Amino acid sequence: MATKPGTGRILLKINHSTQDPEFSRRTWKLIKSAIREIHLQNASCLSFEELYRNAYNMVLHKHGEILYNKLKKMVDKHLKVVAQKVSSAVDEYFLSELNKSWIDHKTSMLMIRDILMYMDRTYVEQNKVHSVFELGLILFRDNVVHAPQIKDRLLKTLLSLVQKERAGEVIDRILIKNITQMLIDLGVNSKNVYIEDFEKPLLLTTASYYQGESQAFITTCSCPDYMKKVEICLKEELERVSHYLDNSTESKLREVCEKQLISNHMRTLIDMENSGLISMLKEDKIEDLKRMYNLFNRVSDGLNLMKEVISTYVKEIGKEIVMDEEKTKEQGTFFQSLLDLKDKYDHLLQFAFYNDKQFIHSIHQAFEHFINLNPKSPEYISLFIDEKLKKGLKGVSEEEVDIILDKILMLFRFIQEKDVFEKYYKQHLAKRLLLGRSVSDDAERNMISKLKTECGYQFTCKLEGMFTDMRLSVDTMTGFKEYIQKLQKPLPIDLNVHVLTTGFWPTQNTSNCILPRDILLCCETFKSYYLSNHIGRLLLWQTNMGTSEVKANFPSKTHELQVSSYQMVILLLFNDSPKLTFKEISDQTGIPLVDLKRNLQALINPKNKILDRESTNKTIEDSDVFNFNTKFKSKLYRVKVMAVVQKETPVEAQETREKVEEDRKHQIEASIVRIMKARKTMDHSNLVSEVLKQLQSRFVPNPIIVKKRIESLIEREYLERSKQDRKIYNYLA
Amino acid sequence: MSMSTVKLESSDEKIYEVERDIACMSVTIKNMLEDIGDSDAPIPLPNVTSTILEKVLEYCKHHHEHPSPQPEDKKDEKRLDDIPPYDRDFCKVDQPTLFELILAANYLDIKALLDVTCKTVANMIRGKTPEEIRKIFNIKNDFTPDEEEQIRKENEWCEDKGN
Repeated sequence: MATKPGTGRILLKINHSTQDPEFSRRTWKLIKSAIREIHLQNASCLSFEELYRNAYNMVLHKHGEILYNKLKKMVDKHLKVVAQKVSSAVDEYFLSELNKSWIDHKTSMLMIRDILMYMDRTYVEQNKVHSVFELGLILFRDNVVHAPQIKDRLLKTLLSLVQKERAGEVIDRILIKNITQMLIDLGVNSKNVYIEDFEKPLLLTTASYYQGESQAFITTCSCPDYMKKVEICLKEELERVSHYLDNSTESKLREVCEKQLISNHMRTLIDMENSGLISMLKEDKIEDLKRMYNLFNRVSDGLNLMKEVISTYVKEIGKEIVMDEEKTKEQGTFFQSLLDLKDKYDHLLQFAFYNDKQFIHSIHQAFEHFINLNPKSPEYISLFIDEKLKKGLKGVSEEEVDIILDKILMLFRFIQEKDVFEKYYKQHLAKRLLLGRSVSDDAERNMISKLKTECGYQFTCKLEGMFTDMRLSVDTMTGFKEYIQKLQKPLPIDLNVHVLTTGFWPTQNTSNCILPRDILLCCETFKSYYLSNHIGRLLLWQTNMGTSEVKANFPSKTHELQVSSYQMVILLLFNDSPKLTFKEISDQTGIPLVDLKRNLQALINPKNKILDRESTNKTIEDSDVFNFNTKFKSKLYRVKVMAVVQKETPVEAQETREKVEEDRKHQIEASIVRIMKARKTMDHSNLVSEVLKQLQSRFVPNPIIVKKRIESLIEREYLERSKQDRKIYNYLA
Repeated sequence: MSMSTVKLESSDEKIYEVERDIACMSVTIKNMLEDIGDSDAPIPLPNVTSTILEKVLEYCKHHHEHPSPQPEDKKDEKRLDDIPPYDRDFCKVDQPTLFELILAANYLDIKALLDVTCKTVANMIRGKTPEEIRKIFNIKNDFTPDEEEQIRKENEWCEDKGN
């Protein structure tokens, strides 16, 4: 019937085989005996090609399912025997027996897989069943590892080995490694078997183990010792992972250990008496602090907790310094302690806390907090600088000066009321410049340029103006001297004038005193010289700021007295009468009473008793009588009469405060107008926050005051409230 | 170094000495060699006749010398019109030989050869009516007219509407 016999032959052949019921039975028998030989580890006598061909034919002729199921049954049966053998092993050899069976099984399954390769390629793929090797894994898992007499025993054995190792015993790590690897393999593309059968229980026992251990440690150890122990434990657990656990266990195991060893005890560790965080800080235990940082860094919130405690502690310490009555009296030590504190924490930050940004931030915040607790801090900073620039920097190299100034500036940064600082700095600088008390001009300029980089041009432009005035004054004086020589009429005294620009210098109420005639003449001469060069200027004499050198003839000896201009005016009165009452002095000099008393105090000071007072009352009364002290004696030719350095009186402090407040009003208004000019309309809260932001570098304005300024600007018609929304302001050009 | 070639034995007991690399294009032979290890004994291939084995070896040799750029990367898209010229000529054989080649390629697990031979058969079937297909492959129609109608209905959706 076939036109092409060849074609028919193939079809016939397939038909014939499929229909032969004996075929599959016969073939399976062959394969079965071969598998048995493989299980007996007798595979060398087998013909691989023949077995492959038989399996191939079986699958090709649609007997794949029979082959697959028969194989499954056979391996299943074999493994039940294996399980029996493993479970009968004594404890000592239990694991190695299991390991051996596992290795044998793997080898057999690889061989069987090769024989049944064709089944894997076609039947398995088409029917979406497990490949031969996977089937082997599943069967081994179900029949051996999960056999009731093995499963629990395996887990117990493994856990007890881990426990033994923790206790310091040496165990067969390679064997455990093989077993854990087996558990991983048995998961077939997932780690479920390993995780469920071993990892989870391991993590549980680890947790309870370290719970106990940490309890025991913490009751017996100091904080640093505890941390050292924890470090060792963590290191050991990590090694454990690398030796015989799966890598994926590392993070989980670490988490469990960290929770038990660190998280659960953080508070206790920090608060530990005599060895906790605070005492480590006190005693500069860099290594321990570093250790704590590293350990706490491992757990969530650890560093936050540490940071908070440090910040609270720094605030406390700082507050003690800042509010300490004793220390604040001595500005030097006050500030030196702050600088030392800053140094200490900078050191800790660098060497123990890896310059952690958050730590830096919170410590800085703590500094800012306590420095501003004392409203006098800006003044003290300025005084500290004053002291350094007056004498503290003598004989110190330029670089060292730089370092010191930088450190001061660091603290300056924490000050919120920078405008108050500016006020004081100006006062102090004025005194230094006018009295020639500055040690080094370079250091002064260095400081100014640092302030400039810190706070901007505006902050320092007036201070720089003061320097300019000083320089111009030198030129003016040279010109004046030439002018006098040309006049051919020498002046009775040497006059040295500083011409100060109003506004640059701290303004003082100019209450002029009555100058002696000679001096008045000099002043007039200078005035006419100066005004001939600078037309249209107004010169006012600041007698309260000048100094004089006076020659005084005492019966014993002639001395040269260095005194303030006021004192000079007072002393010159005694040329005419040897005895004067306070009232007479006051009338004849016109010096303001407060200043007069202050200067007289200096003159009757027992150290340099130039005047004698006929009264021993503490305060100077109107009726007090003063004599020229003829008994005055001194080893030195030049006698310096110290002006009584009076600390700022509360009234003056109040005045300074008020001045600052007044300045602030203008600055706030200026800032409001600047913002509104740019934005045209803006709502209240945004405007206030913008103002705060702009002025932050100088001071922190009170929002209520800002509101008042806004209202004042509305009154003066710079702004208006929007008609739709009262909270919105419009800018009126 | 004796293993740079291997010996293959066909069902009619002819022995062929082939370069090892060429023989290993058959995954089956590759596996066998791995299992047997170093041995000079010829590998028996009782499923393949010498005529077919020669053809297979010729194919393997050619492709070993002219490796084609990895065609397997062409996603999973199955195409029938991408048979290279050499392969097309190679498949121009009578039907029995073609089928024997398919069986051999399947048994020896040579994917490229199996693909190209099956594609050739597929091309023979393409666009033909069942009657024509029966004629080509000499298949007896063993469906009853009712069964045939049933199948046509079930497969209506895949018939080429343009024709």
